[in-house]
Amino acid sequence: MIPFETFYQEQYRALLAIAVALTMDRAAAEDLVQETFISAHRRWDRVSQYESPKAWLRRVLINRATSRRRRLGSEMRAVTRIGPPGHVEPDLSAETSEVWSEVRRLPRRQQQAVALHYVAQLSMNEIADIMGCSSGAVKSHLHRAREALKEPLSAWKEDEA
Amino acid sequence: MRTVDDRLRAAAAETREYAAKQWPKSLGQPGSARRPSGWLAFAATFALVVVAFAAIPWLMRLDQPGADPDAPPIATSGTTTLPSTTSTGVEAPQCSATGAAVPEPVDGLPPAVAQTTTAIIAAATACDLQTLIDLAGSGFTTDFGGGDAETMRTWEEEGQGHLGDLLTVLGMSHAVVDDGAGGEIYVWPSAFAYDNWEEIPQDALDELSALYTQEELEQISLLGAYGGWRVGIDESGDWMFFVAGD
Repeated sequence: MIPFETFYQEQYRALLAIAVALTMDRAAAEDLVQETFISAHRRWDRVSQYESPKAWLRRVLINRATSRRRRLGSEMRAVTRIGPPGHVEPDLSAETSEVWSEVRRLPRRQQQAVALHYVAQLSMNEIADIMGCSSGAVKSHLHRAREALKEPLSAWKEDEA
Repeated sequence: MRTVDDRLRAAAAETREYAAKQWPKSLGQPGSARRPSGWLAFAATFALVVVAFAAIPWLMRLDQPGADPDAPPIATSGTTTLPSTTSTGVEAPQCSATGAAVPEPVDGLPPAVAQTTTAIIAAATACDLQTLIDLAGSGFTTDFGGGDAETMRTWEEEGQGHLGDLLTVLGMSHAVVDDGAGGEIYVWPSAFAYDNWEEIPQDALDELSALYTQEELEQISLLGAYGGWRVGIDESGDWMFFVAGD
């Protein structure tokens, strides 16, 4: 059985990258990752025996990201955009921030597919396993996401970077 | 001119690079001399979070206002993120309930209702769709347009699973309503027991935020009464519905 600490060290950064893309909030992303690891730690005897503890971890993360988004009502989301006390955007370039802001406007499943494909660099089958759908559905989510992002992302001018 | 794919790849690469620099200070860099003391700090933080999680149900009970004599009978359940003790396999749970908070058993339910509730929670937590389907009563519905228990499997297969929502709903307060034929139905959440949206107590509305955004609740309120996800189990323990909408 892989020790939990080793697993934590191996997976923390990869998981944080996904959380950052899904939240664009440094503190929220760190909280999501920490909560996900706590969930894994509590049932580590079982999770460590899974065929892919990594996949389980990513699934918990995206489920928790969805729950968090639901908890944030429209008012909270508006406040978050303004930037309430405690909200700290990750130190990313303006262009990258803009990309993730646009991604966050996509339907939930498309956001997840984008984060898992581009940030986590997982295969279609791995993403399908995590999202609980077919690889065809993942491709469809990605296709729709790219189509939806064409207009807002093409408006970005190189000189704005 | 870069494509959408190029932009997403560039953003993803920068995000990974950013995350790579965010190794939690409490743990220190892998292999660094600070790691042991950092691990203790993490353990302390972890312990505090566990205590906070454990206190949530207790705090929620403290927050309950006094009972309204005109309101339907309500009992409140808590939730915990502790793993289900009923699952014995080591297969990875792979469903929409993975990582969801697991409701705690509710006191005061009739034994048959309590048994069904516990079994539903255990099956959903274990992502055991077949058991969930088997638990459904003969008239069980997931959709008043005709959805039966197998719909829960379809939701999962299509990636639109609602087992996490099922657990969330069962973690809310419940109420008892007449079934119109002399029997009783135990329903979750208690908000469903009120005929008019305006009559729903604030605490029953507040708990719905675990399932819906404020925007979504405003849409639901336009129906005139709560019409979101709800669970119904009759007094004999038959699981009657897990449904949303009219």
